[in-house]
Amino acid sequence: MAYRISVDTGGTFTDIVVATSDGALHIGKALTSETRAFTGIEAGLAQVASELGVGAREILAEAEVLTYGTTRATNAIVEQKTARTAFFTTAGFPEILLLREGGKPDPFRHIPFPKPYIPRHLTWEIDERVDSEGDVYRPLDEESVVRALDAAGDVGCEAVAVCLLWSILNPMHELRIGEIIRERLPSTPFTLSHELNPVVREYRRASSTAIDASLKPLMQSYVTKLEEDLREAGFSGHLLIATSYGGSWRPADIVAKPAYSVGSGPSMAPVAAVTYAETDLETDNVIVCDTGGTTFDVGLISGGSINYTAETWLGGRWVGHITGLRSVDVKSIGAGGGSIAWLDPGGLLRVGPHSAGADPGPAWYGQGGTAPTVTDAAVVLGYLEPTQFLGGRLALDVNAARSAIQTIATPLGMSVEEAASSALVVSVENIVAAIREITIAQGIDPREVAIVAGGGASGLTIGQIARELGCREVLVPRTAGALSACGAMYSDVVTEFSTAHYAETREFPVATVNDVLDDLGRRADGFLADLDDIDPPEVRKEFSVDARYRSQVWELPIDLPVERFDEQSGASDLEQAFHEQHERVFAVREEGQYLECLIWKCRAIARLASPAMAPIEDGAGTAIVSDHGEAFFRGMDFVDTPRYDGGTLPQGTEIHGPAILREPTTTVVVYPGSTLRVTGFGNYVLKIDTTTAARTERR
Amino acid sequence: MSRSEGRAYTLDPVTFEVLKNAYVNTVDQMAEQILRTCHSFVIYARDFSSALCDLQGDTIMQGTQDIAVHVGTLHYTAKAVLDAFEGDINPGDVFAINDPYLGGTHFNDVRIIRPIFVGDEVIAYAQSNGHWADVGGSVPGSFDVNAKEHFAEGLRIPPVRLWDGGKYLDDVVRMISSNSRAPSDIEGDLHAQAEATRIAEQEILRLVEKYGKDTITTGFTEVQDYVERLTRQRIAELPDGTWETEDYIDYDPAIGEGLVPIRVKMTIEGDQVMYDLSGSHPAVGTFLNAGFGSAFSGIVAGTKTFFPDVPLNSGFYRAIKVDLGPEGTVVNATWPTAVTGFCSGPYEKIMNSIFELWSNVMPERAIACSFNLEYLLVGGRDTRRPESPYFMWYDWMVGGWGGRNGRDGSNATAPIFGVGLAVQPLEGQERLSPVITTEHTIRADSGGPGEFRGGCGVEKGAILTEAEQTVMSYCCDRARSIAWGIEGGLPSLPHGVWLTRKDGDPDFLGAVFSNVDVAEGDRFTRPSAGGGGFGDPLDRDPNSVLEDVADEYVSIERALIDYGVVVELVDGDLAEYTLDLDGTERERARIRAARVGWLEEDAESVAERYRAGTLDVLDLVRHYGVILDWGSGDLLPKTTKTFREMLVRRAVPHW
Repeated sequence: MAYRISVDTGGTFTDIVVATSDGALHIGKALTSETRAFTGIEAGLAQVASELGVGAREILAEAEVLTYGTTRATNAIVEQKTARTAFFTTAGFPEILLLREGGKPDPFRHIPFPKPYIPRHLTWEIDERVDSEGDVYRPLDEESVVRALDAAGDVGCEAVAVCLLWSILNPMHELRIGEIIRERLPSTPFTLSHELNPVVREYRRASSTAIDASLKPLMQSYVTKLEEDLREAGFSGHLLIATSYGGSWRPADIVAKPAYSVGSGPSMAPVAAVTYAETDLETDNVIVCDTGGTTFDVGLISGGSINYTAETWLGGRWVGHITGLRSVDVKSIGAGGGSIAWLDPGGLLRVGPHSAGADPGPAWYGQGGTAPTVTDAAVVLGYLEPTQFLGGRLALDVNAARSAIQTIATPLGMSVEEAASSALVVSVENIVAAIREITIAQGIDPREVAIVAGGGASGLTIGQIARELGCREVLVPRTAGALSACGAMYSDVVTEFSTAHYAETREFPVATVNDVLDDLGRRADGFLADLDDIDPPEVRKEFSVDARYRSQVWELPIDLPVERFDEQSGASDLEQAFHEQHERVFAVREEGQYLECLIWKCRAIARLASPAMAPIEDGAGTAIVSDHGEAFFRGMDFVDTPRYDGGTLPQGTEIHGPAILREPTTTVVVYPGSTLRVTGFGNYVLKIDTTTAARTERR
Repeated sequence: MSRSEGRAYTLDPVTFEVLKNAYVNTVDQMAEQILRTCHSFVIYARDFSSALCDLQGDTIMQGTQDIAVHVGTLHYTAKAVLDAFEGDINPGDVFAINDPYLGGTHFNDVRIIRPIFVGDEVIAYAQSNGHWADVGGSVPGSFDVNAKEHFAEGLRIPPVRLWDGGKYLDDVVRMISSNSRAPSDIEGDLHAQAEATRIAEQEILRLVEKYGKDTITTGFTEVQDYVERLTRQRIAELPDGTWETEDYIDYDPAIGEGLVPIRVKMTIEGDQVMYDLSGSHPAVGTFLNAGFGSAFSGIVAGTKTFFPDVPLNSGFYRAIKVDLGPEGTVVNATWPTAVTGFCSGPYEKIMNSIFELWSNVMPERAIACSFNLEYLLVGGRDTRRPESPYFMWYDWMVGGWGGRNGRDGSNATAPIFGVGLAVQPLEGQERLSPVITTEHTIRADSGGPGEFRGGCGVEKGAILTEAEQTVMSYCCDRARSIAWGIEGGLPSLPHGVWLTRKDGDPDFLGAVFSNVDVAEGDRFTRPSAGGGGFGDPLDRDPNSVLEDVADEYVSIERALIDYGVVVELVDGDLAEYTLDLDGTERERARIRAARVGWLEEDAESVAERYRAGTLDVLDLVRHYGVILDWGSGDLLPKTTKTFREMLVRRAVPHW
């Protein structure tokens, strides 16, 4: 029996998914241990093993691939538990990490910028300067490097981040500093900015570099320990580590560039969505939603490809720290199941961004929480049944939920149910507005795409969210509760090589650009050749360039229509592709305008043998009602609502709303006018009637 | 009695909340569109704003991240377009305007306005305002400090049509773009802005389709009423009273040395706040004058800072009553007075004054004066390329904000004129200009001393490399009217550019100048001021001073002079220092006994000690209240007199 295993280690829980050779997925959930990844894996694996009737060791021994995703790096940064790191930068510019790129959200609130990622007293200025043409303006004073290294050593720095101005055009000085570090502090890990992230704009590059270096000691020991533990437990397959790029790498690669593990967990949800969309949806344009307790994560898939961004900030756009690396674009909205409903001084009903968190949690948890949350509203409306939750293991409190909602109902002059329903409407609208902003900024009309929804609380309102967006189809996978871990299960080995080389498409330097592309291609080939022992069924390379219209401020990534340019047609196909992409995203094109090309890239992809989805039993299409209960729907008051249990329904089953479907890790509300269908693979597709899009009625 | 009281809201709270958010979302989507497609990096640096206006031109909603300096002006330009084209506004039309005499800010701020039609009925206007890099005039970037009339400043665009029933009017656009040094950039910006207004149109029409036209237009009115009600409620909770203050522009070259006062009187009465600026000085002989729109903007943005959670629209303006006084003053300049420098001149003085006035009303939010907005422009021919293209190195800095009640001021933050303004990556600047930045770092001792220190400014130096026919201009202020402290806090340091010619000595060019010739090898550097201090610096916790020394925010020398704190170095490499608490107590007692006397010493003899090198600029500004021409060392007697009076007013009573 061959298994494939994937693991997503979050701050609190470790999700583990085991695929058997028939493609069926089995989920385990255990508590995370901060220092030792294997503890959670072992416990989760034991659950799956007992379900399958085999030993955990047996599963490990027969697993071919284990893909591991973790929030370890992200949490270490947030909790400021990374290594004491020295920052080496060009003399005169010690403040790059403090100044950032300016900007501030909420301009009328005086919120000071948080401290720089590396403080000034661990910053050393190196006497050197390269100019914007890549020429040496001031030669490297090696003495200044030696002095900096000695001082950094004296104050106990465990890693060094090196980011010099214009090193992307001429890396000579950074490379030499690397040599000197190796000579003088041979055991100290370091990162050179041009190697990690060769982008123009010094703050982004410096921030990536600082984050990367600061994670090296920690991630090295963490990953090494994990691998040792796994080997000791009998695992002999390939260990791969998930990256923020939506793929996975060998442990040695992530240890060399640990900044790529930041945000790797959430980046896997879109990977899962791509896979589910292929099997269960007819469109390959998808909005991926993953609901947690405090946030609602949104990702996008267009034309079957995941959207990427270079704007990932830890601690908030502009004021936090940018990772600066190209990664799967997942945006978090402060609207989770625990978000709190409140009244503003003008008497308006608001929801979030404050959340009840896990402790005390929503009122219905019965742990002393009194603030009305989104899930309290769902309890009041009869969507969530406390007795059913977590198999009835916790004593959950409907009365507490009602009294919490009462605190907003009274000043609004509404019944408790009306207030609960209004809170859901506002929460839905917040999410809808944010999704619209995200999709429209990418040139995507939400009415033309489907939604894939994950996370335990997503099924409560996703039907309403879809209706408000004008989106007709929602896929809720049976494994919605562990969407990221499922993504890791289907992920490929993906990496990207890039080179900064400025070129204009007028008088396009075909030969030079081809040299750049050849070099990138060779590096990608080398990476792919190293994967021979994994024996990927398919490898491929994709070339792209970050380009912009003449004198435009920002670049757009464009897939190259060719691997090499020829003298004859030059860059005309590239220009054409750019016009089309620019028009798709921004609705305007500048016909006749030439392009400025900045960063050339080659993405190397090795497809892994991922488990085929397992079809479920074909039934007669009849739905078996488990029981009945009252549920409140806007405009209908309380109505008798049938409830179904997920595992019991054969494929093709159709359920018309109002109805409620229960799964061990999620609950799906089928609103009136909507239909839920069980797919051939046991997932659920909601069909939304968007013609009756809810008009919030007048009072 | 406010207008909104007793008025029934017809929309239920849920629909209303949804619509309010939808309007916010619409204007913020306009912003995203602009950010991604603009050509002028000034716009990219977030010098732009977006608004939805109603049929009267009043603002329904303004972008949540908009630059402060455009706040409170977009309704004026909408109204100007409506007046000019009354009865002749049709589907497919798009208009432009940049006229500061009709309520705009300055000529670079060009507003694109699109009517939103449902069938043949217009229901609203979408407006996108962006700062274009160059609109002509006598200097690159259209910032001619010495302009007295707008003819030298750039192209004035009264309300004009750019699209007529969907037809693009190339001739009009050519007329506009031909008056710029960067014609294709501004045409790119024009299209980016027009597209942003189209996105607003699309969003509003989507809402109309969903909720019906009447609900949407009712929402337009009620969201303004809501903001007015909210604002009035807050004001009504505050004590009634009248407060007055004044701040200064450095000088009027038409008159000579002497600080130019801007006087602000604020009265809270019931649920209304009134501002009276009628005691302000006549317009000055530089471009540091404000038209009525930008003066109003300074008042609104200053006030808004004390109501951070109230959305911005015309409802907010209704709770504010303004008397700018007679026409022709520095805060109410009329055609054809030059006004482009309003942002460095009256604007920041009005805002800082209002901050100080509100500090009386809401002491928990009190804040001292912040550094002044500044722009350095170097423009000419770039000889690194064979065709010697035109270049414009357009640079601005972050600086320090004023110390606050209970907290040090923010370091290295964008000016109050637009706190969202970006810091330009120098790797973005250098490829485009033959200017190499040599330094960009926190300037030690720039924060005004106080119990809560003013935030630190930065120092930025550069050298001109391969260039020809190149000139430098600087738009700033406060080389003399230096960022001040409150509640006993001390001032920061003077703004101004130092130029060192190849093989020459440093020369102080001041904080406003234009068209200074510069050549290859010339170096220039400038600080941004820090914020003024809050509270008596002798009351600052010595441990905080010690921390500042370790952070290199305060030097050991000035820790002693400004704070009376004796710090000793243990190991500089390890940033280790210790405090001498006994010495500190003695030093503080000495300063306390002497300092009022310093402000009365003979100014000329103080100036003499500066020229002899026994006192430095910070000593003069912070302890003697003596202001000089910092280059020549000549005393400015009138300026010094006013500056000392200011210190006696703002600092001495709290010592």
